Amino acid sequence: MLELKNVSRHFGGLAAVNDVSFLVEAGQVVGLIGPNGAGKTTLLNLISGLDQASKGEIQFNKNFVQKLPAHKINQLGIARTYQNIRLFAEMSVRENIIVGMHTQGRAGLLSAALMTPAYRNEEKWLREQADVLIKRLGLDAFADSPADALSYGDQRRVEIARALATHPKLILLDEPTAGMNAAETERLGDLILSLRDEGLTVLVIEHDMTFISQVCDRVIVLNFGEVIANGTTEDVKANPLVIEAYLGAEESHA
Amino acid sequence: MNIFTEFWVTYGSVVQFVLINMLLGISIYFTLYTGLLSLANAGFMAIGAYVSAVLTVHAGMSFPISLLVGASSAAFIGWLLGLPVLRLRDVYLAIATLGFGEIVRIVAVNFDKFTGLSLIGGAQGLAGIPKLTTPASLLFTLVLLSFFLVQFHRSRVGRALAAIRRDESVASTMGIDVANYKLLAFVLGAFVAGLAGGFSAHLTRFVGPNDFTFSAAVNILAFVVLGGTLHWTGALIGAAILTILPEALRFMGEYRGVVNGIILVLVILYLPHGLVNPKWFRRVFRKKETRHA
Repeated sequence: MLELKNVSRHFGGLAAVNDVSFLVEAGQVVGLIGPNGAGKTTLLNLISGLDQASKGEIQFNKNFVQKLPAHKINQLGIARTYQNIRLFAEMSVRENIIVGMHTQGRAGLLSAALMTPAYRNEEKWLREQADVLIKRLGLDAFADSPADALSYGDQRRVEIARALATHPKLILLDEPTAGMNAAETERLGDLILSLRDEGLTVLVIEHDMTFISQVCDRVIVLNFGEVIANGTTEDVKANPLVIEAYLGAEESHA
Repeated sequence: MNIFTEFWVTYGSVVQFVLINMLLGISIYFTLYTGLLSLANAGFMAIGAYVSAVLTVHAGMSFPISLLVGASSAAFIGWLLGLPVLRLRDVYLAIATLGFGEIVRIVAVNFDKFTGLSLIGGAQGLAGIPKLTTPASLLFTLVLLSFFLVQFHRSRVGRALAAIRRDESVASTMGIDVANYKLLAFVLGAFVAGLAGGFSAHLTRFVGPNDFTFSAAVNILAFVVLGGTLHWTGALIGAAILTILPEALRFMGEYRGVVNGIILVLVILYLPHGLVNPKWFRRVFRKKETRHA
């Protein structure tokens, strides 16, 4: 479904992502882990079109997306959340989600100004659809609150709801459990698994290994911009390169 | 009734200038609402003013049609200009649009000389325009636009523009075509500025290149800086205050400019979001629906 071939991103002399290749198959939950600064978020930026690869190809469902603008990539079916929560702060939770449904609406300025029946039906439909997501993510209590009034954990769930509102085939989650307590994390894991069962493909950056073990079919490990391991959670945990990346090499007595 | 007549004789033109400046406030509100710092609105106003004046003076066209043609011309030029310059951001966009305003002014000065026609009167300007702007026509246009703005904020397009202002990158990953919507906001602003230009030309009965200088562009921006962009009524209130204030301070003679400036600086320092903040409405009305406009 998503295939990266020899993807690199250089910032001046620094290779934030260096010659990365991997495949994400449809219907899988794939974890992307690695120490801080390994290039995980840069990689998500490249896939979602917020940044352009210096070299290499990114293919999504047979489309080459590495040169496409971000909105086109989203329209092909890739949505994402952000590590540093980026909600539309002064909008309500419901409005944030309705913005996510932008491409499912048709109404233009004229039909809005004239309040045509088509426009009013669409607005009603958008609200109903947004409320379905609000319910699913357990945000009922905050639907009308400004997004920035919520706790971090709740804001992360709003971000996921907003991304799901774009009807993606692949969702990229950037540290979705940061700021969540253990119970919230577990519920998020259940949600991700149920989304996978409905056919959604997930690429998730995480540090919480319990969470990774709970949800991921496969794990890709990045270090210094390069893939150092790619396999099942158990394989990856046992991989000496991975242990070294996280704990330091043995001779350094870290 | 005598009081009203007296008031109108003395202040009628001020009231109409307030209404025209409110239109200009709305025109720049469209771009600022989308997060674009554009100073092209004086230029768009000039285009609307010249085109509509030429049509009524030289072609004998009816006022509403010449107004609309003038505003549409401004919108079309806005579209042509927006395609390249909206790639720029912040101060760079401000400088580029300021340059556009100067180009419009210089073209106006030299148009007759280059074309060999005597249409717009060069540096002397075009005088003898019929006085066709009425308070009623201005008020009608403003009410119509206000209604449009209320609907606009609730619409899909309005939400997309609000999202772009808040975070352009995030908006684009929601499938929103940022470049296209910025262009739309720019063109809408140009249209309304063109409309204001047409009304102004047919109120003062004169259009000259010196009406559309750098300071005109900055004055329009000041309306919205004072009123704020958190709510569309900020543009109206800012325009009203900055039009009335110089009249109200007339007794101060040459110092009124200074006082005007001090008031503006105080507002920027103490109310950086402008005079109108929707949070205050909410406190008053306690509506269940929250607005972000």
